[in-house]
Amino acid sequence: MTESKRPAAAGSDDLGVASDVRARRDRHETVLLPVGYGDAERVETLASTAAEVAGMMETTVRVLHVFTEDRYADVRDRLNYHEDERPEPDELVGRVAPVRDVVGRLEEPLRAWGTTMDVDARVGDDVAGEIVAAADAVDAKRVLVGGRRRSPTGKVVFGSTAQRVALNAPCPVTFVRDD
Amino acid sequence: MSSEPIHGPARGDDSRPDDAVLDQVVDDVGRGITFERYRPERYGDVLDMYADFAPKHRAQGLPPSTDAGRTEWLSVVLDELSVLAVHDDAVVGHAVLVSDDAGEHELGVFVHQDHQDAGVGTALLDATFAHARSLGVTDVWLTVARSNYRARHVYDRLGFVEDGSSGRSVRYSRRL
Repeated sequence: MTESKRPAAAGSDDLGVASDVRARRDRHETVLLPVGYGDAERVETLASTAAEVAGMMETTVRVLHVFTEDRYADVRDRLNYHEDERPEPDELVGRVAPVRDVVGRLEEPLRAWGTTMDVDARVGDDVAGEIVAAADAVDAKRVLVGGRRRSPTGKVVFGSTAQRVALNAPCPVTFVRDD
Repeated sequence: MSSEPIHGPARGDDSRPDDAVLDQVVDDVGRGITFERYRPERYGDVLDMYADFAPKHRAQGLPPSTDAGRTEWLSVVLDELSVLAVHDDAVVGHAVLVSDDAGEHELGVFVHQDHQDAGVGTALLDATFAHARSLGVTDVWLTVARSNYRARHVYDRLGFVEDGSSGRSVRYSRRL
């Protein structure tokens, strides 16, 4: 009985986005906020900056997570899906800690700015390419990216994903630096 | 100093301190340097080296500039593969290999300013790679500031190949 072992899908609805800051799809222009594991330490800055940009531009915020194929498989396995199943990445995104953090921290500033958010997820090993494709798909007015990363040994490095998004996005890109 | 050749540690026996010794060399100015696997007994000595690390030798945000930052950083990197260079019972160099999510290892190497320009860093890396190889590490990479020509020259000589760049950094890698 595989069915009974599977927990309820942790989709974006299960992230607990309050109804007054939940975007109704297709009703707003969007700024895109990609959030990955490397952003764990800057979620607060990302959230407040995204709310401010969206507030001033009168758009909604779309939080985006791109799963690499390996991460997608990891999370799917942890949720006891069968390895042949391909659940929608939206159903897994609630398991990504920095996404949960950003969503939680967005609520208050979004309310203050009078705007909204939703959550999207994609799968692909070309993370920058997926971010650009998502920006294209939603005709994003702005993409916000964390401009720095820490390497495994802790070195501060300029993220190659951020660089490639900046060069290829169909709209202006805002770097969010964390020091 | 013993004239006996130093052999690698016996696997599975961590009880004797000598087992931590990987190699010994004499540096370019005649100082005896011992290379050891990191053990928790050396934690205080590692902290001492970093507390005295010259700010102008910091690179890419490392070592962290505050006590709290160093403690947090060391709690991550010392948990993985660390080799120390020791002179007169003081830690004068530290090499780390930290696993990434691609099954490879990022290299970081730090030599106290009083022991730079004496071949310590290169010998520390030789000892580290030999140790890492014995533990099954196969692929090592690092990034270094594009403008840091001295370090880049060292990695060239150690058989690293430049295989990428990002902003002001270049990436080098090699197989062990």
